This record gives sequence, structure tokens and C-alpha cells, in this order.
Amino acid sequence: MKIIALKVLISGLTLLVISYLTLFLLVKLVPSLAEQYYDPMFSLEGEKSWMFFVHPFIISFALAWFWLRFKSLFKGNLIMRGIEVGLFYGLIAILPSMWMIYSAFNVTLFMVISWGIYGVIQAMVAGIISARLNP
Amino acid sequence: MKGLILFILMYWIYPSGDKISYIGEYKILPQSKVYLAGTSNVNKFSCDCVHDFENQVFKADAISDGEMDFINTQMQLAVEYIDCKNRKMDKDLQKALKSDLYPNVKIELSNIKIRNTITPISWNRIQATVFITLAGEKRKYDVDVKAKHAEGKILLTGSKTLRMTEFKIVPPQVLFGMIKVNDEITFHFDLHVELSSKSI
Repeated sequence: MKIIALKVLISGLTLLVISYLTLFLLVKLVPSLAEQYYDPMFSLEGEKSWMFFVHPFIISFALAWFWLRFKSLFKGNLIMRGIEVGLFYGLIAILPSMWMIYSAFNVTLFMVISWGIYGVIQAMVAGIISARLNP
Repeated sequence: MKGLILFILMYWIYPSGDKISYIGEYKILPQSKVYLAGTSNVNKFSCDCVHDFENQVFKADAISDGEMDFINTQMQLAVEYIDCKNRKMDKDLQKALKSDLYPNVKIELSNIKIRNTITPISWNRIQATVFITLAGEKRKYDVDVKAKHAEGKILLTGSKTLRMTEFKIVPPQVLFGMIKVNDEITFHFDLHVELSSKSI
């Protein structure tokens, strides 16, 4: 239990730093995509803004549980195992949800693809941390 | 701002610069355009100030040759009708301008100075002193205006760049402060004005 909590904490903090860095790079490198966040659909300054900062810990908790149950399926060194976790997660969780989002919401394909890539990278990082802390 | 126009008209009638007062009525016509333009760290934006102007009464005093003071020449723009073609930007602008407390942007013409010899057909250069009130803060500016008499109307065009922080306005930010609206905004105006006046 202790190792799980530690994993969630380390992974959550790492993903939080990555998410903030991603936002920073988004504005610097792809301003046209960043501009799309200036839309009433996004309320990143309102009462729910704290939820954004908690999301890395939610993902970390879910993937920690996933790792515990299925880690025997992932072979190779820790980098390869992490990458495989990310791709697995991307296929079974991110792809269907992004598909639904693109079909139902007024967002661009570019934005949905960026969310998909971001989600897979988050899962890869969480996977590498899991493989390192709980091989 | 519209009062500029009237000055031109007056000046044609009384070019001597005698100390004469005028009273009259003006109307800013619907084809007039007032908009503000700005930038953020990711884009440029432009917001139209959509407004129906009513007839206004003004008073003006010619104080010297080529200079005139104005009284009651105020243009009010409702903040809620400023349209940035983006509902979030509209709301952020209304919040930044404290529209619940100060629903109007006010532009008040105080004085004009003619900068060249007035000619009835071509564009004439005028320096206007205006008071601009944003979010309850009033500041004085000199604005270069081009004015022209055409088809029974007076055309006035020009722009003025201001800093929001001069009015104690915090420029809007989104995405946890990653997207920031830059401090400078520019008011552009292209006014078509109908005028009637008489000396008193």
C-alpha cells in the first residue's frame, strides 16, 4: 500500500510538471492551437480550475492499479515497459474517448490529436515510473 | 469626437477666430465604425463597438484662431455591446472593464486645434484633446484626427493607442496565465456625423 501511495505521489508530481511544461510549450510553439483554448467551452479560470491540477494524480492512481494487475504482461527494460503501457492505455482508453469527443464537441481534429498524444505520453511516463518503483 | 466635425464647419463659417459660442445638434450615423484592436501572446483581436447613437446637443466656444473648446460632446459606448467575435473574450473584456459598475466607455471631446488650413474637400488634420473613461478611470489624451466634409456629412477618422494599466485595468489572462492579453489596445474610429449649429 505504501509503495502504491509513493508511486501515485511521484508519478502525479512528475505528470503535473509535464502538464505545466506542455502548456508552456504549447503557447510558445503552437500558438494557433493555444488560441483555441480562448473559447467559452473551456473554463480553466473558474471554480473548477483546481481539478486540472489534480488530474495527474487521478491518472497516476488509475495506472498504478492497472500496473499492479497487469505488469506481468509487459516485458523488456523499464523504458520499453513504460512505452508499452502508454500505447496500451492510448488504444483502450484514449482513442475511444477522443473519438467520442471529436464526434460530439466543436473541437478541431488538431486539438483532439494533441490531447491524444498528451495522454499517451502521460501514460508512458507513469508506466516508466511504475516499472522503476514496482518492477 | 464628433464635435471635431462641427469645428470644421464653424471654422468655415467664422475663419477669423473671433470668440464666438455655438450651440447645435449632432448625430453619429449608423455607418460609423468604432472598434478596438489588441494583441495577446498568441493572436491579434479586434472588437467592434456596436452602438446606436442618438442625437446630441453640444456647445462650443471658439477661444482663438484655429482652436475651440467643447462642452457636452460625449460619446458613450456600452461595454456589453463590444463584440470581439468570441464570447469568452467578450466576457473577459466586460470583466476587465468592470462593466457591472461602469457599463459605458466614455469618450469626451474637450478641445480641438486645427493643424492646417481647412479646405472643404480634402482631408484636414486636427489635434483633439479628449477624455477617455474606462472602468471608471478618466484620462486625458491628444488624438490626431483626419476630418473631411463630404456629401453633407462630416467624416472623422483616427486612432489612439492606450495602455490598459493606465486605467488600472488588469489585462485578461487565460490558460493559467499562459495566454496573456497585451497591455496596449488601440481605439479606431471612422465616424460619419450629421451636424446642425448656430452661433449664440
